[in-house]
Amino acid sequence: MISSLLQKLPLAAVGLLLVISALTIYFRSKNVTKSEFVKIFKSTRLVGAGILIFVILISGVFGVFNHMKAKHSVTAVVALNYSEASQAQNSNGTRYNMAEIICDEVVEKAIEMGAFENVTVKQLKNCLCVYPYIQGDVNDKSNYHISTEFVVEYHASKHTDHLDAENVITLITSAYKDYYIEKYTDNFSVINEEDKPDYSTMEYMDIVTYLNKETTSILNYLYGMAEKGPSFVTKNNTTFHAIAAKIHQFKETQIEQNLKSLILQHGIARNKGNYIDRLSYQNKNTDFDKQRNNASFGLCNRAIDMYSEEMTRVVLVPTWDESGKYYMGRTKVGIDELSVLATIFSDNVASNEKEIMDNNLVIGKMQGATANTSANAEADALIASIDESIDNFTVEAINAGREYSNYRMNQCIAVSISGTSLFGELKTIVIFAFLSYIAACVFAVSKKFPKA
Amino acid sequence: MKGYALTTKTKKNIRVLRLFLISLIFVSIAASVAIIGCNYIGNRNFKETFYSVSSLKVNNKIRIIQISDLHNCSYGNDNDKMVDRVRKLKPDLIIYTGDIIDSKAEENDKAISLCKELSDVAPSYYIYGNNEVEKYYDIPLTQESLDKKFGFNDNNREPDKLLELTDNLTKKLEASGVKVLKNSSDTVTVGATNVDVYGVLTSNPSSFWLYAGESFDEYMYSNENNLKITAIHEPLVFEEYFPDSWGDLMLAGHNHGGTVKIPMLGPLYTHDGGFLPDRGGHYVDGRYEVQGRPLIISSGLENKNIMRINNQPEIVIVDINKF
Repeated sequence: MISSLLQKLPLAAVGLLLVISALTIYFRSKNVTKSEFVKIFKSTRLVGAGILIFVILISGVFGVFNHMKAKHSVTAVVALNYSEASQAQNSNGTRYNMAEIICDEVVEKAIEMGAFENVTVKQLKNCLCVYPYIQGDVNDKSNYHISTEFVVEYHASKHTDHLDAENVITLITSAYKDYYIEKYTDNFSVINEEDKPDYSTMEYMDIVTYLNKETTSILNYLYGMAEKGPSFVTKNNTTFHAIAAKIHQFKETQIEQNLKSLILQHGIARNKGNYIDRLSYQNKNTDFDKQRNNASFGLCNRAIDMYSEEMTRVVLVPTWDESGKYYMGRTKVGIDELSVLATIFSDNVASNEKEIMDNNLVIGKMQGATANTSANAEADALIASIDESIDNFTVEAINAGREYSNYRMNQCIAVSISGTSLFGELKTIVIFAFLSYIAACVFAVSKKFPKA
Repeated sequence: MKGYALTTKTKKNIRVLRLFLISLIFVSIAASVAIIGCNYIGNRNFKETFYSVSSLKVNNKIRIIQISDLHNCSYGNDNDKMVDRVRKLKPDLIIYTGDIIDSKAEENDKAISLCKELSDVAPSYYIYGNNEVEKYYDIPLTQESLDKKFGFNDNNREPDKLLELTDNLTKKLEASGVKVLKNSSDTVTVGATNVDVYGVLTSNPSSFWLYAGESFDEYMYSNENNLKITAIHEPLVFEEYFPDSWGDLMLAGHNHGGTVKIPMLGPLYTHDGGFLPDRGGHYVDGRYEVQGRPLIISSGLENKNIMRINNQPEIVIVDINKF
């Protein structure tokens, strides 16, 4: 606050001198002829020692106070260092918004981090502005520019004058980095999100389905990560694809072959009667679906037979693709749609038949089996072992994901802070010196005018 | 006539020159008084300097406050201003990087009381500086004087002998809840991150490796997943030795920011670096990168016996983030 006032003092002095001199000239010039006017101007020494001393001294004083005030303005450049930034996106593919750099949440966090006192979010936010480092031109397509660097400026106001400008901008950028990473970093909760079910109350075949679902979700996560970072190698020298292949093999051998075979071979169930009833009911429902799909398949075939030959001719329409190249497009006719539907219904029938056969196989095995406690125990042990392995795979997948995220997000946002440049300060001083020189000259001229 | 006219002109010039010089002297004196006055007023309070550091070893944000070179000064009664600010800044760790006491002062009550107050705020570590060593060891901890005191040579040097020496300050500090690190490390858990703090006693480059090398290696190469913070009083060691790593963060003090900071030129003078040490590539004050990791040197808090100009006393706040 004081430095701001002191900086304005020399400016006010120069302004006052200029105004007083101009008024003096104005009032005294009434008694002066044009030729005398020119004579006065010619006789005044505009590069005299007095004028120079005045300009140097007042510019020096202004320079000192201007430098002190310059400390209340700081600039930071926030650079986004991840590949999606070049498409104006956040690292998770959502649209990037530079206004978030100084959003309420970030400013509030900065105030909290710096334990700033006597300042509100609104007051601090009013001192901040953000804009792209390279602006580009929205009116000219050839000058479109997606900026990956943004300038954050802080200029202290009377409410924030007690704060250290460099600390403010350091904390704003630091809070933004936290905010960004918290909001846009990779999400690891895609797997292992739900609580584990109680296996002792579940039917063995349901456990197989559940374990299959668990491994599939890990595999999906890993395939997703592999797509993002196909060449990423973890510190254990493995890749997402390698971990996925290992889990896939585990799923095929341990769950499908060992566990499922064991259950089917021995016809193991927690409650055989209930389970057989449930499968029978499922079969009845599936059979209904099968009949409906069969009927629909037949209907499609009959409609295709009824289709007039004239109406099946292919019509070629000239059209162009996205790159502007012409090609002859084949129009779809009703028979195309019918044949697609017929294929779908036929596939559905096959799928229904398979489900019924599988269920019948399980029912047959269950009915033919006798109570075998050792097989039950063996299945329980195998389930426990598979479950433990899945947990380990989950941890391995999450760790690999985190490692990749760390690798990708590290230095995702870089910040450089700079105060007002010396060149900028010099420019201001030179402009001020010129103004004070003009004021001193006008004053010198005004002194030469005769009093009324 | 010509000579007379010339003399008048010369006289006028001399008068103008005299006026100019008098004005210049007057403005210089006024400016100096203003600068010294402003600095004197400014130096009665300390500033807070924030640094942001990243390390993949941290699982949660960690805030460290570094207090250095207090030289028994006080900000408010019993440093209550400093205690209040430190409390508000909510640090996870407090590290004193030496010269908190002054070797010439008879009592160290202010320093001890500050440590005691702040030990309630966060786990605190204290590293001796040259003032502590001067006062409690009587000798500078250089290789020559240590070897002479213990009768060591290159064949029979036993660094542990130095650490066996006990002193009153350590006892008082430990009693007030501060851990004193003398060529030793300690592990503390902050949130979900294990942090190893290593404090150097023999920070003189001549004795550092001979007396602290073994314990430093042990600290550096055990529990490598822990966050490593190396605290030392004199930063000159970082210019003299180049181990594989100095840790994830290094903290130092000692130079008082070069006492006077000249705009564009930086610190004016340090004992180890001479005039304009920053220009000579010495580590003086602020943040540096040493082998790819940050070294933060505090300009300290002493405001009594030195003429700080454009160099306000500071406490350093380091936020360590994962990214």
